[in-house]
Amino acid sequence: MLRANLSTRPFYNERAVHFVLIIAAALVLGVTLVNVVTLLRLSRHNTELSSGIRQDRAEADRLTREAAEIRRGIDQKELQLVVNAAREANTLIDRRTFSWTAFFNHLEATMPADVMLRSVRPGVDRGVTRVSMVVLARRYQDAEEFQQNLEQTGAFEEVVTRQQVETEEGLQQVTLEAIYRPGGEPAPPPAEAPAVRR
Amino acid sequence: MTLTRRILAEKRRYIYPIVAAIVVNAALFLAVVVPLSRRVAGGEMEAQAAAAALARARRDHAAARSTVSGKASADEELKKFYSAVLPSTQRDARSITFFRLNELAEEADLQRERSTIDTDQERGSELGKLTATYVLSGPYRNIRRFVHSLETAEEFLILENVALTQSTEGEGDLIVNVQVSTYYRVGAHGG
Repeated sequence: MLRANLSTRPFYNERAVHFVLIIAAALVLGVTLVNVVTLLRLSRHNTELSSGIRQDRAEADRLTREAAEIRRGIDQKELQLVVNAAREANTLIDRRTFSWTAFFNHLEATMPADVMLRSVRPGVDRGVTRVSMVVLARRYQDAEEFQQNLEQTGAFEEVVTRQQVETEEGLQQVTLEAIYRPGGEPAPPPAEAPAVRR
Repeated sequence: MTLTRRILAEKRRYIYPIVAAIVVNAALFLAVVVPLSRRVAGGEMEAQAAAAALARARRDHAAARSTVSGKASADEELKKFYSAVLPSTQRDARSITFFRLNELAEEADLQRERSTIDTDQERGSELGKLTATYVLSGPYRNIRRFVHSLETAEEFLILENVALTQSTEGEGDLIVNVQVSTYYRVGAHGG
């Protein structure tokens, strides 16, 4: 049996080489496709964004111009007069709707026996009602008790003593100030209110 | 010649296009795709800023429009308030206050000790203020009735201040000093 290789060059596995080349070509084709698809997607998105930005800016410019025109058409002095008049009217309405009956009910329910109301003045500023009260008490502790009772109702806040003087009769005249926030409960008519404590 | 070189030489007609395609792809990715994706990212931020600017412009526009409509409706409401709620002249204010307070004091069975009337106008206000100070005497329960009637009266009367003192006459009676105000439009109908 003849055992000799007569070829001038050795063989190699051409099928394997072709397989590798086909795989490489397929990968390159895949990458190319991904690249092209990405490019197209980005390009379209970029165009959409540019167009959206243009539209938004144009609309914003138009609205800003229109707002400026509207404002130019408003007489600022006249507007300020209306604003001031409306604020004044609202303050008057707030003061008119202040319920003295509810207020007196609170005072009567909280006033100790040895305290008497001397004067009371409510004031409304920006929707906040502040009341200033002058009370006469036998001892300052009675006025303090009244102050604590007021705070416990929840209708009075920041109750503070502004002034305390002793009268000729030896009574303590105490000026109290507080923020008054009525709970909104309907005020019973005075006939149902408890009798005054003096 | 090594086997690898021999394969590269023999298969160059397939290998060269594949290598060229890889180079083109890399160049396309680096020169176009990457800058474009950066531009898109920047564009998205710009679009957000433009949308925010548009929202601000819309709010500003709405505020300007509501200023106009708010002014018109406030004007209307103020006219109603001045004409239908407040007394139209100082004379009306004076007569309403006197008439009504006397009536209410009488109904509450309070004794009128004295009364005074003052007029005033705050700076920058179109409204004149008429303040009636009444000194009344009677039992506390009657004073409460008077106060309740006053605050539920139809007329625009504001109870400003209440001061109480013990009466020297009448057992258990109190003297109450009340300040009641009303407002009228200055200059309206000669007021």
